[in-house]
Amino acid sequence: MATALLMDGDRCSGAMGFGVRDGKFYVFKAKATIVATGGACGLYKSYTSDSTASHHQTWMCPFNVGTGYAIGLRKGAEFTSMEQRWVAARTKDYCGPVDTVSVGFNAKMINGKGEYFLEKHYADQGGDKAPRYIRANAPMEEWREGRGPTYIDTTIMDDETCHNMLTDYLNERPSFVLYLASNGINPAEQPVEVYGSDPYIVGGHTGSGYWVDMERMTTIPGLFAAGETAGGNPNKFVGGCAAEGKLSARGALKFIEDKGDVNLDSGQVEGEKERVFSPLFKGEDYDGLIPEEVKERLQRLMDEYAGGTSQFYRVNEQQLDYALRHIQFLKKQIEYLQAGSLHELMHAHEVMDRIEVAEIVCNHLKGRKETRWAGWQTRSDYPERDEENFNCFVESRRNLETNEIEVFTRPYERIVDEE
Amino acid sequence: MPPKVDLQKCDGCKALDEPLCEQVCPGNLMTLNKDGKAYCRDLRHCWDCMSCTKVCPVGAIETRIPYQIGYHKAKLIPMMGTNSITWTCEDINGNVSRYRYKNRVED
Repeated sequence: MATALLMDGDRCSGAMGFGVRDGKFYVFKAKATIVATGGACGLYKSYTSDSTASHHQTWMCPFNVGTGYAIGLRKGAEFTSMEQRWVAARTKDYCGPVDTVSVGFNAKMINGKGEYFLEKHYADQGGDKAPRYIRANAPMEEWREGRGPTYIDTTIMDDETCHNMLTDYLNERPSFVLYLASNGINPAEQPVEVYGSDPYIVGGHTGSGYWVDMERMTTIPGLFAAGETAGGNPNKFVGGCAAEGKLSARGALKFIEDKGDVNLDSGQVEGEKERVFSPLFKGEDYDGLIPEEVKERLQRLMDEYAGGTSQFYRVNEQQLDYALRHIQFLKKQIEYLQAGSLHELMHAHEVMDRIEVAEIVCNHLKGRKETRWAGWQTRSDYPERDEENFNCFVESRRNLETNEIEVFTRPYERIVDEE
Repeated sequence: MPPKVDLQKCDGCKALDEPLCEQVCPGNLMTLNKDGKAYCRDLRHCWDCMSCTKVCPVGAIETRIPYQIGYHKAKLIPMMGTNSITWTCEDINGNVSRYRYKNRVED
């Protein structure tokens, strides 16, 4: 698991981390470094997390914990659009993909009253072909308005089409087919329930991540980002992320050619080694905290005060101030984390990373005082779009001298003509 | 969720330094107990990705839906071919379905 970047002055000179099975400390000295860890899941509580044996019932991989963002945040890298959270309409209780059915098989969403609600309430925004944030938020609005439950109407399919759809699911998220079987659901006879997912930070779908230049270099020289960690270029998905891997590799090679070698600072190595392993050596009698309870505290906080599923993604200034106040408590209490095994040590670092990313997400949500993408980003105290002030990117960076997070904006420039 | 290991079938991938389920689990959850049998070290952390279920060479691992989310007891069993997977699914009413798809493209 990567835990920190190595720095040679202002330039990134590699990364450090530890082996989750061998317990070794790893030092990677590098002339250029590419972050391609994936985004952040588990900042927010999944609604199936309570009273189930299913803590990780999330659409996004729960083992992506935001490490790729956290290591750069700690070194003062600039981040963009972290308020643009990825929230999606997913199959209820199982967080399975819905676009597989809606886009792939032309099935439409339907509410408890039997209305095709995208057609009925969102016709001016494209109905069933409305932008993704609208399709994600729409079922939750139906529930809020008292028109739930919400479904995707799979009963339009004949048996063969349904069989093909389930085969697609087996390729994409096989256990969803087991979920259907465990509930006796045949989608050709009965619609499949949908609900909003917990929010994720995932630059492959939305615009969240490091602010990067065309070569995918972050604002830290020598540090590149690709895929979910690279911000400002949403909707790239798997293919786009892979292409970005290539772009960042080209950028890194050119950077190496221009800038040459780096120096390794042994002080940083020793300091990080001590920090990384400290939760393991607290002693048996130590009255501390286990990573799981800290993570659950964070997830509940984010769910209730930073616009999670339980709040229908809505948030206001006072809720965000509350969340940030408690994130400061959590940051101070990290020193009490203890781990009884290497696996738990990994969890300790995972929760530290999640807290770091959650803090920046709250700062970004505070920074955008309008509602631009309801669901992904909904401010109940600023319910309208504000073109005059917020047709721009919200940015942030930690000022390493004052240790304060600075939030600012960058102008949006259209570089390709609208179709 | 979680993976249910058949202790009679599991041989701990004796010939390997690390059993296949341990190698493949994205959450670092599968490992061997002191008797050399596979187990999931934290059941509620499983993501139900079924990687362990698919990779197990002796078919010792079954993925189960937690009861709070689905009824007892449906089954979804993969049969791994060289370049395809054949799935057999049995729902709670005893209906059996089979599915097959290619998961490798030949060069």
